[in-house]
Amino acid sequence: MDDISDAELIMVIGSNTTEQHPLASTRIFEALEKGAELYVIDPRQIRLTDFAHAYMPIEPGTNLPMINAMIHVIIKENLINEEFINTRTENYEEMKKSVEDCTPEWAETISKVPADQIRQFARKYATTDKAMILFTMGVTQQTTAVKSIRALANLAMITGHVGRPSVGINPLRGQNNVQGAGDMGALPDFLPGYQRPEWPETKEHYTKVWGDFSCLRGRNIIQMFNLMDEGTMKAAYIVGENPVLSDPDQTHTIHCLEKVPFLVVQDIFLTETAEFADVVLPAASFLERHGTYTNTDRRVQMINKVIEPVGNSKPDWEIIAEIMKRIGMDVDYKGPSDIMDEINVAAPLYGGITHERIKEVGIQWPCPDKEHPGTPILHVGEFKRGKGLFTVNDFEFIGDQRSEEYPFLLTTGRVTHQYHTGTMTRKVWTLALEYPHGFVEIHTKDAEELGIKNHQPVRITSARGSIVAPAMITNRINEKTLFVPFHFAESPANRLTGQNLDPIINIPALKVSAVRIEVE
Amino acid sequence: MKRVETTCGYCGCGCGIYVNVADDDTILGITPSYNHVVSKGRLCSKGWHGYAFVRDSRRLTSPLIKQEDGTFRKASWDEALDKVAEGLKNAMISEDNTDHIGLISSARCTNEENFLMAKLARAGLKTSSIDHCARL
Repeated sequence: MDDISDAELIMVIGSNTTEQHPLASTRIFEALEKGAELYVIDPRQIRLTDFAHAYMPIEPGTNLPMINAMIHVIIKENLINEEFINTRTENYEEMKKSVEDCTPEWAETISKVPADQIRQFARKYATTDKAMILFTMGVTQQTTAVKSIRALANLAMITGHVGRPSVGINPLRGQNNVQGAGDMGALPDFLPGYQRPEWPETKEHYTKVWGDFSCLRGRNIIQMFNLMDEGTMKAAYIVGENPVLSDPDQTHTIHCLEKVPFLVVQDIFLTETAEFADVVLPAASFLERHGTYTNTDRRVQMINKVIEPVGNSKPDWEIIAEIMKRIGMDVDYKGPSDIMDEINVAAPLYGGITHERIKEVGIQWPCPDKEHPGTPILHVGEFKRGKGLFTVNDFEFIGDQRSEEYPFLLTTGRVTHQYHTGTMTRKVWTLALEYPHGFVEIHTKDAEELGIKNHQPVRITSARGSIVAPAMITNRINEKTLFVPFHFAESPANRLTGQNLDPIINIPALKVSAVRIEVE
Repeated sequence: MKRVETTCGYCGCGCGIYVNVADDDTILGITPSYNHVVSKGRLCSKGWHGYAFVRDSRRLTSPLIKQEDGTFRKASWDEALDKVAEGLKNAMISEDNTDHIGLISSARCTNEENFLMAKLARAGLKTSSIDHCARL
């Protein structure tokens, strides 16, 4: 986080930082006070644009052509960092060839960002020593997610903006422990510590730690729901998630939850998802248990029990351990620190992280042993794979586009005072008061054309479904573009979103849905 | 009154907070942690206010089992956990159950809990289908 404060140029792409990572945004402001420049790329003039030196109103779903055009400019004007490319990377020529035709003029026709602005920004990025990229779901929830991130990596590598303080491409992780959940192997394609199931050493290592286990690439959330639909999936156990509101295409999600023969949901409230469960297990909240969270900096920090679990609820770890025993597993955990002891052995990234060591200050992984101080910056001197690999990322349209029937593009997101599906924050009156209900942002010109008045209920319809929400008329969004936050069960944005997926990691394109809007 | 230091449970910033608690376990409020390495004494609105849901009357306080008419009835932990174990075991229809049992873990749970979910899935239920909401 200190790295953000020391940057000289910060490029924020697809991140509403002041609203979603308020504390990260205070670091951006620290940098601005020290003279840094800020560039914002977003289809909405988010609050951060008020402080930006340049704002690029990009079309939803078109980050990739713009990034490729920046790379094109930097190569064309010879602003590359030749030494870095020669010593630390490979496959440069191949990548160079692939962006030969990606002129800023070409990108402008797709992304709607003026070519001159792309040029200017590319020059600035290449010639600033400490230039840092911050991004979130505005880059990843698109069909070009992987390609866009690889293109950002190309951009950082041709300019040598990697592996030093205050540079790099930095995803801000959304939820408190989304980093840790991945680290711990709550992913179908990794075991804890990012060990691939198909590596021979993974099988060997985990057989030693766990005995016999399933060592395949499993199904991700999207595929699991499809298997429920097909009738293959016989049971599902959902802990602390609310897919009815958070997953794309709500009608499909509900159909699948109704169909799966056995469903267990574990949560702190009877969520929209829990309504479909055969058994509901009451969990304790984060103030009612011990354990660790890993933040967006990879810093593993303690959470401590403040009060006893409410009612007859139990901490999640106790419930999961009970289920393990009852299906016949031989486990006996006295508390979360016993589990961390096992993590130390199972996941070498966390090898030296113990509750005792992080009592006062968290440690950043990788931390292989108990003497290791942790690792603040990745890729110093060398990339994890050795040389940094340049990739070819050609743009093509996949998924929803504007049409006669659906002339608007809908993008979804969050607001400051609410959190994810609102399970917690909508029950905190001070927060609920700020945003009591959902809404749809629409540009003044579009509203005038359609005869929509401010706060008037409007119907938004996609090929998947239809919702009603009050209109919020603003000049701070692109024309022919709408924005709906997904926190609100009564106007659920994800009834409109669809199953257009990134072909590599299957992330749904929640930021790009074709819709129409009309007076209700 | 006691003051317990912990980490905020909302976004990925991971700010340091002190929770002030009365002797009867009533939460009185939050104080930012001034020396915290990430937040340096700052907090956002969720950090300051976001704890009130803890005592909300709608909290789940007992295991629930769905009845034939579609409504829930309260159950003991023993009964509910046995039913969960039985339901999951019944779905273990192959040597590998990757296509038959799905586990969705949580970015709101601790590292320790996510690790147990991964272990329950792969080593217990013999399914590699475990995921969480990183994509959403």
